[in-house]
Amino acid sequence: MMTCQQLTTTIASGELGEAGWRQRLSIRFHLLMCRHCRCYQRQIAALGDTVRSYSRKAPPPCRELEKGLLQQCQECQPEEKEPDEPRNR
Amino acid sequence: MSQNTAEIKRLLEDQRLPERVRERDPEVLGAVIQTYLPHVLRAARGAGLADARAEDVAQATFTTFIETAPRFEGRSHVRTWLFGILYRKLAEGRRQLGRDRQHDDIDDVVESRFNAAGRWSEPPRSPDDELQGRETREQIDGCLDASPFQQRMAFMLREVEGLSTSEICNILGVSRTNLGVMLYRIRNRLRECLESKDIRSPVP
Repeated sequence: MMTCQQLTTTIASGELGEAGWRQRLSIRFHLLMCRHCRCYQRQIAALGDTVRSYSRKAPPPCRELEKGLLQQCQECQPEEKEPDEPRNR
Repeated sequence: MSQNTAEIKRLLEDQRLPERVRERDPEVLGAVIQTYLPHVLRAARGAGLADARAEDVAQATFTTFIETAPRFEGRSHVRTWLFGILYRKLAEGRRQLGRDRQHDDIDDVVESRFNAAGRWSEPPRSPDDELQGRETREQIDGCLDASPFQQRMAFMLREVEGLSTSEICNILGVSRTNLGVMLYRIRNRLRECLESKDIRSPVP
């Protein structure tokens, strides 16, 4: 049987998704029995959800930045293969 | 030159994508820019940069992408290649690389919450499920600012960009085991951080 410490390590390191069916079953069983680990798991998931939702609400890139970059790739000729040219910053 | 969504999708899914990137086909490079600029910008902000700085770094990332396009082999996804350039740009701008270390204080903090048998000795405080408030965001940002840079990138690429383990390993140049350790550390750090702030929260 997995200990709480082992289980929380599996959850936090993201190894849960890679666990085999036997291990997943034992994790599920542990979570069913242990409210502290359930709480831990919820908190870790909530962290991800929170950061995801506020990061995705960020403003879109300004049109000028996109236009400038599109311009830049129009200007570079396909024939020109000079990877070592100096960076134009 | 703005392309519509279906056209962009077709270009990016084309089998000849790597070849056309190498040839610097303007149509294909344009599709890559339109598709991934918002992601690169978001990741730059996620690394802690303010809007103007984030836009500079995003621009520098795509400039390098265009310059180095002839070397794109197509072994990894074009998105992986772009995030790799971004990561190196962000790392260049820092005095310390912020690499994950052998020892991290958070390991001791987590360790102290369990007894010798691996059971909780100090269990997590029940969550108040209101993790969505503005205050929480500031707390999380503060804690992310205090975290090693590489851990932060790993966390953002996983949680916000939703990239796979192998993609993130490729971008950061770390092994799967390293990545697991970094995610373990930053998630615990954030959790501990919110929990301890929560305890002190009655103070206005």
